[in-house]
Amino acid sequence: MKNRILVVEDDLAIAEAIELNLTLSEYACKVFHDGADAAAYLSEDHSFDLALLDVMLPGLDGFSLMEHMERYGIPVLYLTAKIDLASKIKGLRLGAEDYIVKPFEMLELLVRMEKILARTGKLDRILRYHDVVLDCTNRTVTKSGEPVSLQPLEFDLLAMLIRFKNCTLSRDRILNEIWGYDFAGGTRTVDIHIAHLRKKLGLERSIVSVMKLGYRLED
Amino acid sequence: MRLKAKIVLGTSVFLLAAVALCCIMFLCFTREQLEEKAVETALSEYQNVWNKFYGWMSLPEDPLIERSFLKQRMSSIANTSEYTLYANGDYLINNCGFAPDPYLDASADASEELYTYALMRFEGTSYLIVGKRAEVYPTEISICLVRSLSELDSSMNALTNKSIAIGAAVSVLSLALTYLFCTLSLKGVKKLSDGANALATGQMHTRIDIRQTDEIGALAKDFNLMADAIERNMDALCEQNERKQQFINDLSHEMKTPVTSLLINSETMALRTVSMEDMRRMANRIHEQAQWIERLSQKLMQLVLLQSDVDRSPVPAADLFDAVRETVLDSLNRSFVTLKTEAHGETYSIDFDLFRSALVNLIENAIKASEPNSTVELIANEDRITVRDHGRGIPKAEIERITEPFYMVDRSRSKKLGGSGLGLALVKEIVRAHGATLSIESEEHVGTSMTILFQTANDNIKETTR
Repeated sequence: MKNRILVVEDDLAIAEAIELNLTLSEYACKVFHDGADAAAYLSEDHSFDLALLDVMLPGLDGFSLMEHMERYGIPVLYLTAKIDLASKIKGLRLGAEDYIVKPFEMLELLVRMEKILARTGKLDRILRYHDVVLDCTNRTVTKSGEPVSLQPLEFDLLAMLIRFKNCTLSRDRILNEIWGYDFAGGTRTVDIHIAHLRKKLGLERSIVSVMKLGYRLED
Repeated sequence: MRLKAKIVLGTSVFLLAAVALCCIMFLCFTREQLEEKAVETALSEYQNVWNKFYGWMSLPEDPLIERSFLKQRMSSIANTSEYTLYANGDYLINNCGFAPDPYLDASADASEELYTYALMRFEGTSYLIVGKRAEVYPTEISICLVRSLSELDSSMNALTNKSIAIGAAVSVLSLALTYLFCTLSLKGVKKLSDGANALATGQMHTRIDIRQTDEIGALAKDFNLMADAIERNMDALCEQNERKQQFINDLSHEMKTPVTSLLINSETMALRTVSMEDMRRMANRIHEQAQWIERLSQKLMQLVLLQSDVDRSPVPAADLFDAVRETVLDSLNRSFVTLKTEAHGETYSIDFDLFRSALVNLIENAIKASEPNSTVELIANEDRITVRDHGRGIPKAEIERITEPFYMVDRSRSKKLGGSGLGLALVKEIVRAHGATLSIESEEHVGTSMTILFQTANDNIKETTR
């Protein structure tokens, strides 16, 4: 079941790009360009797992939309061009889960969205890629029903590759997400773990090396 | 207070010198007067004695008899305690304790009936000596009046003491008054200094409360005027700074949207597997946003260039309008809007390129607001140029704000029509740089007219002298 995302962003170009990316990442999304329109729609349909809200909006601004989101228990991530601290604090104090400052990178947004969904328990606990099934609750992996033994970091790496299927992940981003910002080792670590995954799960063809960029898991 | 010390010290030195000089002059003068009087008295007395002594005199021949005769005669005429009698190199009478004759002017001719006198001091006492020589052949006689001036001396001493006392009293009193006066006058200086310090530490509201009518009062007034001017300038600077900051904030906010779009779209194209159709759509988006950034930066460049001086020359309105028409021709044709220009031989002292750009901006706005098949008018009329459209108009509440950088009445519509939000701000800056004003009148669904009002030459002069 796809996660449903509400996007309220007045700039057409940004909204379109976000919609395209979310669709590619297998989210179902509903886009509005006007705050008031979004609020009106919520009274009919409010089964969203996450809302991405711009702050400066025509009709009804992002901060005012917050109470509508709270009423239906929809977690909020603000997309804001305001870099000043006051508005960040205001957004978080109102109960937002997170904020991201424009200009931002799409992958960064996707990662943050994942984290919020994981926190609120909306994320699928079972990940599938062809005959590979990951159970995130028990952290077990099976391939064609046969259990495969993976190191904890290998498990996280595989989960990330599956979540960002068809999306090139740079070694740096992988390092940051799985090993953490303070990891002292080099990007070679990523290559070694990728090699293990390919071998253990027979994904030599599916995990593609992208020149000078990183890796991508292709369908 | 060093200035006070200087003034008091200087005044006291001068005052003491003046008082001392006055006293000395007064004493000298007084003494001279007293002496003159004493001399006068002594002379008349002496003349009397001399006449009595010298008249009807024939001397006995025997020198001994002669001596006693002379002695006898002198004693009978005058008080021998004051007179001396000298004859043939010997004093017959002398009770004064010294020989007075040498003090007299020896050159005085004895034959002439002149008395000579001299003032001298002997053993701490002043003496007045009056004398005359005469020859009663063969005897040479000299009579001297030796008068002690001890009374005069003592009265002069008393006077000197009194003068010193009075002089000292006057000096002390004057000094005290000077000190007091200085203290009062210079009290303002301390206030001035405190005020200047407060101003220097940034307390711009500091004013000095001195109601003196003297130079210090005037200085305080000047100081307050200066503080006013500084505060005004500071306020103006702060306001300017705030405006600039606001502009930068607005600009960075304005840049965020296209940059975000560029980033996301290019990132998606580079990193994700997308269909050819999506790829083309994103490339289009990137192209649009890049164009928009280009337009924005062009407007920005113009704004930046406006900070330097405008290059004015007389421009006939008709020429200007022709150039404007040429520039907006494309937009007019695309929107099916007609441009009607009207000039009556007006000439304006303006920067041609800047003004063309300003008018083009106004007309582009007018075209955007207009329906197809309507007319936009560009009219020169003496000291004003008006751009009028018959379009949608501007809501009353927005008119004030539309010249603010990046302000757009209808954001999404403006962006669709390629607005940067800087057009009117740019026009306003250009107009302002020419010392003219931009006034906007608008009614919704009726139309908008934007008027550039030039200041006439007279007004310009008034403006500068004010």
